[in-house]
This record gives sequence, C-alpha cells and structure tokens, in this order.
Amino acid sequence: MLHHLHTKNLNNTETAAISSNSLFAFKPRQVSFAEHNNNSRSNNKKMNDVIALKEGNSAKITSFTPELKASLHHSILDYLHRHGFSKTLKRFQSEAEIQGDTWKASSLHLEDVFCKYNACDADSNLNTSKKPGNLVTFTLDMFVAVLGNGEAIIKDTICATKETISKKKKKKGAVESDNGVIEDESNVTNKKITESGKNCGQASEDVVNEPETKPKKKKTKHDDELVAEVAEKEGKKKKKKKSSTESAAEDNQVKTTQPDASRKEKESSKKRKRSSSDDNENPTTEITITEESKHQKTETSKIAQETSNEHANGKLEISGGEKSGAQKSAKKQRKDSTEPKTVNAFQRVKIDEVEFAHQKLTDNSYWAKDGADIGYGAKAQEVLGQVRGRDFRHEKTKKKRGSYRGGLIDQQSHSIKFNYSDEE
Amino acid sequence: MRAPIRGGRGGGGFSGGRGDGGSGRGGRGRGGFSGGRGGFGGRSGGDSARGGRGGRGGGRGGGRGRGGGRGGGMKGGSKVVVEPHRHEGVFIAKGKEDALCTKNMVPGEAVYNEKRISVQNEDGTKVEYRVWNPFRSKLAAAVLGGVDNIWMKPGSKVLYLGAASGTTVSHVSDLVGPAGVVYAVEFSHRSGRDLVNMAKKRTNVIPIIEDARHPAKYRMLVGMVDVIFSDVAQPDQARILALNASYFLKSGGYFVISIKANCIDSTVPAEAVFASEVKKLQAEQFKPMEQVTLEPFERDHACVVGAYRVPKKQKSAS
Repeated sequence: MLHHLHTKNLNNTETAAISSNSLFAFKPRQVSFAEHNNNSRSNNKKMNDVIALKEGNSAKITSFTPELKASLHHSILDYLHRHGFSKTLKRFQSEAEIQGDTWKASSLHLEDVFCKYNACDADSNLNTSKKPGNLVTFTLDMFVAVLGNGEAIIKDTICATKETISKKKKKKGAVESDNGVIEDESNVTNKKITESGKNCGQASEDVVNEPETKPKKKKTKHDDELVAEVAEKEGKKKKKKKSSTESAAEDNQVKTTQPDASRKEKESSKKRKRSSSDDNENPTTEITITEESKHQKTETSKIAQETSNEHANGKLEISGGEKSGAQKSAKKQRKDSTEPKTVNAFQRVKIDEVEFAHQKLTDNSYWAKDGADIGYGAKAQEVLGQVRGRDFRHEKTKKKRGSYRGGLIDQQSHSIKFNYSDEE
Repeated sequence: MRAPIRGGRGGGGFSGGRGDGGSGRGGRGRGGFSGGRGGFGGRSGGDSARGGRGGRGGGRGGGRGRGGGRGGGMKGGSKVVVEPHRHEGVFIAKGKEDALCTKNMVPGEAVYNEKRISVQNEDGTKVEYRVWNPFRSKLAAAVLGGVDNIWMKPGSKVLYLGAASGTTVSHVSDLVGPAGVVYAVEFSHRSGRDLVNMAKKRTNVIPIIEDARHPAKYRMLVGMVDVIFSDVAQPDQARILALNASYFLKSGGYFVISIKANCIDSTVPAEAVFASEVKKLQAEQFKPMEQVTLEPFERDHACVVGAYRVPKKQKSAS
C-alpha cells in the first residue's frame, strides 16, 4: 500500500515537472485525475465511507479549545515516545512548538482511546485488526513524502478533493464543506454536482498556476496550505484503502494534526476540529456509511464524468486557448470513467444466453471429437495442445511446411449433427 | 468409382516443388528436394515415361523409397496409392502416411509450393494430385475433421468469401473441376494479387477483389451458386454470409462457414461463440446441419455446414 502510494507520487512528480509550462499544465493534471479516478473507484466504497465520516464531522464542528488541542498533542507525543518513533516525535515536537517534557505527564493514552472506541463499535469489526503502530509509521512516511515532493502530491490530492467533494454534494447536498471554497461558490444555482465540479476546477487551477508563478523549491504560504490539505487528503485516501472507519479515524487524527501543526494555525485548527470530532461522531455516521455506499457506488462514475465536464468548462472560461485540450481530456476522462463500469460490458456473445443444441457442442476440443484417438490430427494435437500463443504459431508453421504425417485418414463422419426434430 | 491407382516408381511419388509457384514452371528449382527424376530412365522400375519430369535438377540419387536421413512428411520417390475420398473430387494419397489431395487442374504447377503426386494410369495417361495441407486450409481441416458433406463436387458453383491468397481456392478449383466455377472474393489487394495470379492459370476461378460486405458491387460477376464457403473471420460474418446468400445462393443451396471464435468474442469460451453464431445463422434462413471442430489444425475454430432456404419437403430428407 505504502509502496503503491510512493510510486504514484513519483509518477506525479514527472507530471508536475511538465505542468510548470502553462501549455501543458492542463493535461497532466487530467491524466493524474484519470489515474486517481481509476484508483479510487476501485476503492469506491471505502471512499464513500470516508466521505460520510467527514460529513458527520463537519456537521459537528464543535468548539475545540486550545487546551484540548494541547492535550491531544501531548497524547500523540506520548504515544510516539512510547512506541519509539523518535524521529517523528522530534519533528512533531518542533513543529507543534511544544517544549519540555510536560507531555510525558499526559494521562490520556491514544491506545486506550482507540481500544475504547473499538469496543463501542462492535459492529464494525473489520477494522479492529489495524495496528496503530502501522498507522503512525505510515503517517511518518506520508509526512516525509509531503515534505519531499509536496507539489506532486498536490496534484494527486486535488483530484481526491474533487471527487470527495462531488460525492459529498451528490449525497447530502452539502451545506458545510471543509475547503471553504464551496461556500464561495454556493451562489451557483446549478445542481450540486456541477457546483462541486466548478469548485474542483478552481481548486485545481490554483495548484496548477502555482508552479508557474513561483519557483518550485521554495514553498510559499499558499503552497504550504495546500500541502497541509494534501496531507489530510492523503490520509483520507489511505483510510479508504484500509476500509477502516474507526481505525481510520485514529489515523486521521494522528495524521492531520502533524502536518497542520507545522502549517498555518488557522488552517490547521479547523482541521483539527474536524479530526477530533471524528471520535465523537463515528458511531452515528457508520450506519449511514454502510447504507449509502452501495447506492453511491453506481453513481460515482457518472458524477466523475460530470465533474470532468464541468471542470473542462471552467477551464474554458479562463483560457480559451486550451479549449481543444480540455475537451480532449474531458473526453478521455469520460472514456476512462466508463471503463471500470464496462469491465465486462462489451461482449458480442452473452454467455448466459447461450444454449447448446447438443451436449457435445459444449466442448470444441479435439479429444472430445469422435474418432480422435486414431484420427489424422491426433499427432498434431499432441504437439499443438501443449503450446499456446507464439509457440503455437511456431509449431503450426512447422506443420504448414508439409512435413506433417498424421497416419491414416479415416473417412467416417465425425461431425456433430444438429437435430431439427422439434421444428416442423 | 476409380480403382486405386498403383503408383510405381514411375507412377506415384510425391514430388515436392519448392520453387515459386508464381511464374512459368515454378517450383522446379529445388532439385535437392524433388529431383532425380530425370535420370531415372535407366532404372528398371520406371514403367512409363515421365516426360514432364525430365530436366529437373538431380539431387536425389537414391530416389526410390524413402530417402534416408530425412524425417517427416511425404517424400519424393515414395510409393503411393491415390484413392478417392468420400467427398467427390477429394483424394487420399496412401503411402507410408496418408495425405489429402486434390487432382491438379493445371498439371505441373504448384500454387503455394505444395507437394504434388504424379500418378500413371494403366492406359498411360498421367494424373497429378496436389497435397492439401489441413494446416493451411480450413476446408481441408474440416474434411479431415470428418465433416459429413462439403456439398462441393465436380461441377459445383462455389462462392468463396475470404479467399486470401487463393491457397484453398486452388483446391476448391481442383475439386469442382473444369465444369465448375469458383468465385473468389477477397478484399485485400496484397493477397488479392496472389489470388489473381493463381486465377490466371485456373480458368474456373474468378477472382473478385471486393469487400464481401457489399455484394452489390460484384453482383454482375457472380451468378447463382450452389455453395457458399465463408472464411472471412469478421465479427459480422453471419451477416456477411446472409447478405451474399441472399444475392447469390440458390434456394436449397448450402453454406460452409468457418468460425474463428476469437474474431467474434475472445472473452467468452469458443463453444459459446459457436452456439451464438449458429443461432444467428438460423435467424437468417440458414439451417445449420452439422458442426465440426477444426482442432488441432486451427485453434478455437469450428466449421458449420448447412443449407439455405430449405424447402419443407426436403427437410425430412436432410
């Protein structure tokens, strides 16, 4: 899983390099979007789980006092310390600006919280097996990745944002949102999907424009914000892969606080609120998750399609020059989005509608034929039956040269006769 | 029918031409394979003149019997007996190993460097047969697979869809003989070139370089036919066959279609494809009568033979 993510990041780094050129800025993003779509749709249900979870949280962004935040930090630090994640610990400590060893006195153990949470969610037994340790190691890794090639991840994550938003909108008509961009867009009178699509377009545009204006290596504030967001989104993606709701909540908590601490406080506080409310909200949201995910699975590709269309349009308004490219990529996206749906869709022969007129017609192999053992083709079958593909062709070419000796030719009829007694 | 013909040294014997069959007396180049005939006159075994064979490159000194050191296949110089097959116009060369063959309409000519068998009749006339390789021809594979009836016999008029280079067409041309006619439709110009070259020497072959999907384009060239053979390997081949049958196949005529499962749907088992194709054919006024697998000569192929617009009274007979 981790490995997969890293390779993906690598891929995206390449596209990010290209995207610095404004001409090509659009396409790589689309490509990555497509990639992500493919990826995410396979994990559709999990994704939905995450979304539902998020929604529940956003619905209940309660007051998250600095004291609570501090104690949370402390408990995280404590956890990291006890499990020997020294590097993460140091980093986190420095970025959260926590001095001294006060956190060691923290009475709240993350494991306890986790265990308790597990206990109260007996029905979601799937996810209990996840070790917090794994999550944290992953978090560390993710964090490093974010620092290393944050831009690459931005690309990736914007896609994720796009999807999550669109789905969210579709599902509940989203009043609240985590980005705050949607609120700006809420005056759009279109359907919720289109709204979200536009929103996505804007968000991703920001990201694309960013590398153009600013040198890549030096991260600006805006970039940092995005990175922070990215980290969270990555966490969510991660969650969805794990298909764990409450362990994911834990994961989320740990993860989001880490990058956020290092980033702007305004941004991070908002997120932390949400992540902390994860713990409170999960039991209630989980029921809805399971119900809605199924229903949503069918709609996802449609939504993605619409989103991409909308996205293309949004791009058009800004730069008409990219019209053809946008359309092309939109088309590509459409094709891509239909692909998973039609994994076994195009078949000229409907396998379940096939009925055999004769029992023997169900086997086309040579040995099923009458008189196969002494037949002229028996020797050829011995050779050709062993091989497939290129070797078959090779063997058959040898036979074509005329060197084949098949023994005696019998003149019996070995064909399978169709019986028409039923019609007359 | 014909009595089995005894092929002595002079009479029988596979002669594998290896040269190019395209121009003039092609296939005479490789003496090493089929030569040695020119000098055989001094031998006691030759009971009749082999004039046509004179002047071939002399390679095989040993000549008689199976030459030592070579493995496999029908060898030049071996004794063979040619017998007629159950299907009229098709023969079996019975030597050490059997081989399917047809009577060469153009003696002395090989079409695709296939081996030929020359047989001397008792009355001194010479007959040449061409070995019909089932790995190259689906019709031969169907015959060897034990198809009940190919409905092609001397004098038949055959519409051949998907003629390609004319390998099988040349054998069908042999099969129907001078009295019959073969309309060979092929869309590809590249293989159509070979087809035309082959047809130049075979008066009963009419090459048509057209898309078999548009029979109206060649309706003026083709008369009513007795049999349609279809080897187009297209997803809509049932439709193509039906279209051509509606133009050219007489009522009560027959069709022979080779179905390549992968060309129609490679995601489902071949048997299912065949069953669905048979169903399609039934919907198009065809009456499939038999099906035979072309294994092992082809992979995932089947040959379906049937009738077209069968009159009611004939149904019980068939």
